[in-house]
Amino acid sequence: MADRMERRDFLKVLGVAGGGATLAGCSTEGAEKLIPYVVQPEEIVPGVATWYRTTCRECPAGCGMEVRTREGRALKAEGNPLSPISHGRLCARGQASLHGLYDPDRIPQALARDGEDWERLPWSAAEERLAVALRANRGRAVFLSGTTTGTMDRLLDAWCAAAGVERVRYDAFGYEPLRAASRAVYGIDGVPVHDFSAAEVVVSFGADFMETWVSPVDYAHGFVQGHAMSGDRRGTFIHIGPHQSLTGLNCDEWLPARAGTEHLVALAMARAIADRRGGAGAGAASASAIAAVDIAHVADTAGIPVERIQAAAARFDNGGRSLAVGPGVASQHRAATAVAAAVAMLNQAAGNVGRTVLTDRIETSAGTGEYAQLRALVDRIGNGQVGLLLVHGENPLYSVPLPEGAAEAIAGVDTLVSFSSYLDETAEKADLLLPDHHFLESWDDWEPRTGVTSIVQPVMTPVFRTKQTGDVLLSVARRAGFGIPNQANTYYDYLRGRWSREVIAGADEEGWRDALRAGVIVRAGASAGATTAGTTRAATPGVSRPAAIGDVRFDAPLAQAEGDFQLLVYPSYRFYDGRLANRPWLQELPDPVSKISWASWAEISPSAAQRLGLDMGDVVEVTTAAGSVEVPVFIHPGIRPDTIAIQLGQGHTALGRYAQSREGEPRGVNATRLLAAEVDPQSGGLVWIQTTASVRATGDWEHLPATGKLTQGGREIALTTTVAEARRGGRIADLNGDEHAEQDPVLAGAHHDAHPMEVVVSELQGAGGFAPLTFGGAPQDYPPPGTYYGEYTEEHPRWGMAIDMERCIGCSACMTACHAENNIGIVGPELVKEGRIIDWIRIERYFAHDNEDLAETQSGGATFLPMLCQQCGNAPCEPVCPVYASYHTPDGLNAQVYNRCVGTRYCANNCPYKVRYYNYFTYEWPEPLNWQLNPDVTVREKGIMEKCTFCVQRIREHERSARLEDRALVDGEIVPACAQTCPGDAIVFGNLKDANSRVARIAASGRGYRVLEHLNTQSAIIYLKKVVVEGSEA
Amino acid sequence: MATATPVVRSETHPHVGSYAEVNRDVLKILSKPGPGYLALIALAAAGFGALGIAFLLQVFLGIGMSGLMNPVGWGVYITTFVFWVGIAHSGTLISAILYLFRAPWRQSIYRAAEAMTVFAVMTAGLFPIIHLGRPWLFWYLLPYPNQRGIWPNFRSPLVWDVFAVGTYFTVSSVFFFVGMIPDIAAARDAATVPWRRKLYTALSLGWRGTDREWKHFGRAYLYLAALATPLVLSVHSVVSWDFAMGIVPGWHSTIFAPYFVAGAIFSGLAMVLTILLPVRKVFGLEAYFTTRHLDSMSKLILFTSLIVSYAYFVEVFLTWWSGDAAHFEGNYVVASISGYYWWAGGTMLTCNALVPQLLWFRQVRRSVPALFVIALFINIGMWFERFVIIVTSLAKEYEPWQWAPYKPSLTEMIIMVGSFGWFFLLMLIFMRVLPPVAVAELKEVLPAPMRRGPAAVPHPIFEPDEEE
Repeated sequence: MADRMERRDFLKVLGVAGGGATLAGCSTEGAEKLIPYVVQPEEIVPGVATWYRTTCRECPAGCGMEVRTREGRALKAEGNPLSPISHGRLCARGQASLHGLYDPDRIPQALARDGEDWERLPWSAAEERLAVALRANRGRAVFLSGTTTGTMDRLLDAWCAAAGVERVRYDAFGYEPLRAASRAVYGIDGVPVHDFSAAEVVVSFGADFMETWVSPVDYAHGFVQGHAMSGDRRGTFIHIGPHQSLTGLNCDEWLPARAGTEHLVALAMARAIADRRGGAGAGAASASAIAAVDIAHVADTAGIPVERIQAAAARFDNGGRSLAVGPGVASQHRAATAVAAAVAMLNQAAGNVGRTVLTDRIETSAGTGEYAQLRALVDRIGNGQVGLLLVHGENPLYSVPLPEGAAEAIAGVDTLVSFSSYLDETAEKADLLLPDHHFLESWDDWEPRTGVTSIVQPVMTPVFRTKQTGDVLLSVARRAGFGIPNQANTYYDYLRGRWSREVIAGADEEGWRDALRAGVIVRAGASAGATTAGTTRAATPGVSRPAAIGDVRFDAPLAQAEGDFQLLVYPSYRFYDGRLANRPWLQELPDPVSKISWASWAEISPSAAQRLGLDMGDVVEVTTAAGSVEVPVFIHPGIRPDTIAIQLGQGHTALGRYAQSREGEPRGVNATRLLAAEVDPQSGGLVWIQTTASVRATGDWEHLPATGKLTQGGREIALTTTVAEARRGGRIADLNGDEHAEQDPVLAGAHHDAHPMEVVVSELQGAGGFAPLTFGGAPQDYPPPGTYYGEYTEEHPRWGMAIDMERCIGCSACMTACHAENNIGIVGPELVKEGRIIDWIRIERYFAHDNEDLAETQSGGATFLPMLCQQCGNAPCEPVCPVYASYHTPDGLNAQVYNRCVGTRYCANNCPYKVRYYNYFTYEWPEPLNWQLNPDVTVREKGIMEKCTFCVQRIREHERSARLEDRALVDGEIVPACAQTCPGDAIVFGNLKDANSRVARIAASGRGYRVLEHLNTQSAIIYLKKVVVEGSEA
Repeated sequence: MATATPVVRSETHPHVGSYAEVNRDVLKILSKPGPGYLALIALAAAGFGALGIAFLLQVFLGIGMSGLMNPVGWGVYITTFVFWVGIAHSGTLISAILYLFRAPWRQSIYRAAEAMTVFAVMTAGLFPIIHLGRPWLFWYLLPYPNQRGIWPNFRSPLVWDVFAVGTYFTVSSVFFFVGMIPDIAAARDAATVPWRRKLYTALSLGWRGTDREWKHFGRAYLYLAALATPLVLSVHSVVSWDFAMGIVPGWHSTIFAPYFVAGAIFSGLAMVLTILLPVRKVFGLEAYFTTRHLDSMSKLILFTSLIVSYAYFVEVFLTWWSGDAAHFEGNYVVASISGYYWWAGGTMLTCNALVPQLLWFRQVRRSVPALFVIALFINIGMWFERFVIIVTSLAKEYEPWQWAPYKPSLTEMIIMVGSFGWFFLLMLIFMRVLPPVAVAELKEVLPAPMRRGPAAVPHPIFEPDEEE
C-alpha cells in the first residue's frame, strides 16, 4: 500500500517533529553564540580566576581590596586581608563598586557641549580644548577637587601651580570640626586614628562610625573586636544623640540628648570623671572648661537624667580602655567644633589618648578641604572672577547646599570642565566632559592614614573609552607647554617615579611587583609629621579656627527656627553623599535601619507619628526656610519625638537610570535642599544640623518599597540573653579559637526561654516514635541517628555555619556580597513593593516594640539576625518538590537544580524560614552590567526558585583544588561570600563534623541556638544569642 | 411482583407517563439550538479565550503577572484548582455511590452530574499547569522513562496529585461514557440530522439492546461504580495532602482529608443544583427533576455543611488547645476572622456554615429560587474556603520578617473567571450533543408499559434476573 506509513518514515517524522519540539521547548532565553579566544592571551586560563589587589575608592576611607577576574573581566570585590584599613573585609559600598565600573550610564568618552546635545570628541581634541581654555583663563581658572591623597594629590598641586590654576578642595563630609578641634586639643592637623578594638567602652556623639564616619570598615571591625562577648568579657557601647542610625541601633544604652547639646553632655561626663578622680586628668585649659560645667544644668538642657550621665561617665572611666568619638554629620551643628573638642577632652580625661586615640597618626583621607572654601569660590564665580572651572571627584551641585543662584552661576562659568565618570548634576552642566577611568581601571595610590599607602591598580581593560585624569593632566601640560616637576609621559610613570623616590625608595622592579602583590605598604613607626597630604590650608575669610581649647566656643547657639521638629540629615550607609546612588545593588539593598530600598523617607518617632496621626508611608511635607520636600514617613522607634531625620543621598536630578526613575524623575528627595549654605565659623565646615522644620501631613500615602517587620510579633526568632546568663552558660568559645575551653553541649541553655510547649513536644518525641531532637548533642554527632537524611558517609563533611549575633552590626554588606557572587537579579522598586525582592541572605532588624519610643525607655536599639538558607538536615523543602529540583547533597546542603525547577513554589511555601526566592520575571542586566555575572553560577530565568547554597561553587572549587593537590581541605579554606565580607566576622563557615573546626567550636558556645528548632528541621546554622544589657531585651 | 393497585405511575417520577414520553422529552434537547443557547456558548467561549490570552501573556512575561509573591506562593490558581476538583466530586458520588446504595432518586440527575465531574476535572487540570513558573516543562512531573534515570519525586504530594487526578479523570470519563452507551443508541435511532447520526453511531459502539448486551452493560457499570467509589474519597484526600503534608501552620492538620472530602461533596452538590435548576426550567424537565429530588439533595447539602462547619470549629479549637502560637495565629479561621483576610473568612463562614442552615426548612428545600440562591452562595463560599486555607496560612507563617498580604492580580482573576467559561463551554456542548438525562435508567424505574403496578424498585440492572 502506497499511502501506508512505513515504520522508518514514522520514526523519521517523529524524530524531526520531536526534535524540533524539543529544541523549541529547551531554548532558554538569551542563548548566544560563544566565541573562543582566537589568540589565547598568556596568563589567562579559561575557568581559572585571577586576583588583583587594589584599593576601594567608593569613599575616602581607602580600604584595601582584591578583585576576582575571570577571562579579563572583574567579577567580585573582596577585602585585601593585608590592609589595616579593611582587614580583608568590605562594606556594601565596596562590594557594589563593580556596579560603578559597569554602570551602563557612564560617560563613554570625551564629550563637548553642543547646544542641547553632546559632541563626541577624540581624546586628543578634548585635551587640546582644555589646553586652549587654560591658556585663555590664566589666573581665572580653578581646579575643584574632593579628597585626594597620595600621588594624585602631589600631581594636582604641581599641575595647578604650573598651570596657574588655583586649587580648591572641599568634601561633602569633610570632618572640618574634628580637624579644627584636633588642632586645638591634640595639636595635630587632622583626625587622629581610633583603635576601637582596644576600647571596652565606646561612646559615640553622633558619629556613624559603622557606616560612613572616617574609616567605617576598620572601625566596625575594631568595634566588634572590643565589644562582642568573648570569654567573659563584653564591651559597652553608649550612643548619645537625638537619632539612631545603624551605628546607634547597635548601642547598649542610648542617651537621647537633644540636638545641639552633645558637647555639653561630653563635658558633663568629663566633669563627672574629674569629680570621681578629684580633679586630676586633663590639662589646665581644658580643666577650666570642664570645671565650668554644671551637670544638672546639662542634664536639663539635653533632656536626659543626671544619673544616666554620671553612670555613663563612671563606665567610661575605664583605665584608658574606652573611646569617645564624634561628631559625625548627624551632630555637625553650630557647636560641632565644641563637640569635637569636648570629645577630645573627654578622651583625655579618661586617659584614652595614646591607647585608643592615636594622635601620633592621622586619618589622612578624613577630609582635606573645607566647605567654606567652596562657599568663597562660589561667591567669586558669582562675581565673574572665574572663567574656567575644573571639577574632579565631587558633585557640588548635588551634595551640599549652595547659596541661591550659585548653581546657575557655576553652570554659567565660561568653561566648566568635569572629570566625572558619570553624568551627575555638575557634569550635566559642563561644557567639556573628560570622563575619568573607574578606579578599577586606574593606576594610582591612596594614603588612608599615616604610614599606610595602598595601591590602586587596574584589574581589567577599560570598559569605555575613558581616560585617567592623571594622564589627561600630564598630556594637557605638554600641549599647553608648561612643565611640571617630575614630568612623565604617563601617569603610571609618574606614579612609579614617586614610589621609587618616596614610598619604596631603592626598591627594584621586583620590589614594585611585591608591592603590587601585597596591594598595600605599611610603614611601621610613621608618625603624623611624616605625612605630606594637604594639611596646610589658606585662611578662609570668615573662618577663625581655634588654636587652643580656650578659643573653642562652647556656648554656640542651638539650632532654631520656626517649626516643631528639629531637622536632622545624616549620611547614607548605601550612597555615602549620594555619589553611589546609581548602583542598582545599593538601591535595592534595604537600608539597614528602615529596610526601605529605592526611595527616601523621613524618620519620626512613634509618639510623634501618633501626635500627627501619621502611619507608615503617609506623605508629609517638610518645610524649612530654605525649601520644602514631600516624603513618606518611616516610624522609627530610635529617634527623639522632637526630631525628624532624612537620609542624604537620594533625589538625583541626574546620574542615571537607577538613581532616577524611568521617567527621569528624581528617586526620593535630596535633603540638602532643606538646608541653607551656612558655614561654621569655628571650623569652616558646613552646618548640617541647622534648623527646625515644620511637618505637615499631605493626606497622601505611598507604598514604601520596604521589606520585613519592625518586631518579631512574639515569635522567638532572634533570641537575646544577658551578660550574666551568657557567663553562666559556660565558658564561651572564643571566636578566634585560641581560648577554646571544654566542650559544652551544643545549645545548652538555648531553650531556657522557649515556649513550655516546645519542651513538652521534645519530651514526647524523645520517648520514641519520632526522630529525637538533638538537644544536648554535640556538633560532631550530625546527623542525628534515625533520620532519613542521616545517611552521610564517613568521608563527607557536614557544612554548617555559626552566626554570632553579638558580632552582627546589621551593615548588610553580606547581602550585597551575595548579590555579587550569585548573580541575583535586581527586581526594582515596584517588585520590592510586591514582595518579590530576592535576598538569599537578609538582615532581619527587630525592635522590642513597634509603637514605643526608645527615647522613652532609653534602652538600646535593635537586634540583627542574618537569615539565610539553614541547609536543614531534615529539610521541609526537599520532599515536596515533585521534580527533585530541591535535593540533598551528601555533604548536607539543600541544593537547588535550577534547570530542573518547573516553578511550583511548593518548596518556598513549605520553608519555615522563608529563604527561598522566586524569579517572578526574567530580570535584566543592561549592558555592560552583565559583564559582572559570575560564570560559576547559573543565571536564572523567570519561573525558577533560587536560594543560598553556602556558595556551593566556592566549596566545589576548593574541593577540586584540594583533590588536584592531593591534600585534605583545611578548616577556613572555604569562605562563602557573606562570611568573607563581614566586617564583624559574625559568620563562620566550616565542617560541623570536624570537632576541631572553628565553626564547631563556636557552635558549642553556651549562647547557641537554632531558629525554629521545635520544627525538627535540624538546621545547619547555629546562632549565638545577642547579649543585651539587663532590662533592654529586644 | 405485580401489586393490586391499578396506578401506572412511577414512585419517583409520578408525572412521567411512558417510555415514549421519556424519549421525547430528553431527546428533544438534542436539537438545533436557539439564539439564547448560541449567545451562552459565545459568552463561555469568550471567557475561555480570555483565559487563553491571559495565560499566554503570563507564559511570555513570567508568573509575576499573577499577584503571587513572598511568602504567598500559591493563590487564586491553586484555590481554583481545588475548587474544581471539589466540584468534580458530587458527580461520581451521585452516579456511583448512590448507585451502589440504590438511592432511587439519582436517575434523573446523575448524567448531568457525571458530565459535570468530567468537565470539572478537565478544568481543574488546567490549573496545575497554569500555576507553574515554567509550564513548558510540566512533563517533568510525569514518570516518563528516560536515559538519565530521573523520576519524579514520589514523596511529593504534587506527584500524588498528578496520579490521583489523572486516575480520577480516566475512571470518571470511562464511567461517564459507558453509562451513556444505551442512551446514545436511543439518540442514534431518533436522530435525523446526518452528523448527529454519524456521531451517535460511532459512539454507541453498535449497541442494539440485546439481553446479552444489557447483561454485560450492567456488570460493567456495576464494577466501574465500585471502582469509582473509592476514588471519590481518595482524590480529594490526596488534594488535601498537598496542604496537610506541608509544615505550614493552618495546613498541617490531620483533619484535612475527611474535611476536604466533605467540602468537596458539599460544593459539588451545590454546583449540580446551580446547573440543573436552570436546565430543568429551560427544557421543561420538571417531571424528571421533581421536588423530591431537590429535597433529597438539599438534605445531603445540609449534612455536608454541618461536617464542614464542624471542621472549622475543630480546627480553631485544637490549635488554641495546643497552645502553639504559630499554629494558632496561622490557623486560617483565626487569621481570617481577625486579620487582613477577614472579608474572605467572613464570606466563607457565612456562605458555608450559616446560609445552608436555611435548608432545615422544608419549604426552602422545595423552593427552586431559594435553592438556586443558596447553591450560588455555597459555590462562592467554597471557593473562598480554599482561598482562605491557602492564602491566609501562607501570608502569616513562622517567620515574622516575611509576613505579607497577597492580592490577586487581574491576570489571575481573568484566568479564574475564564475557567468557568471553559467549564460551561464543555457543559453547553454536552447538553446539546449527548443525552443529558439517563433515558434508559429512567425507563427502568417507570412501570413497564404492558404491566400494571409500579416498576420494581430493586434496580433492574443490579438484579438483572429478577425481570424474568
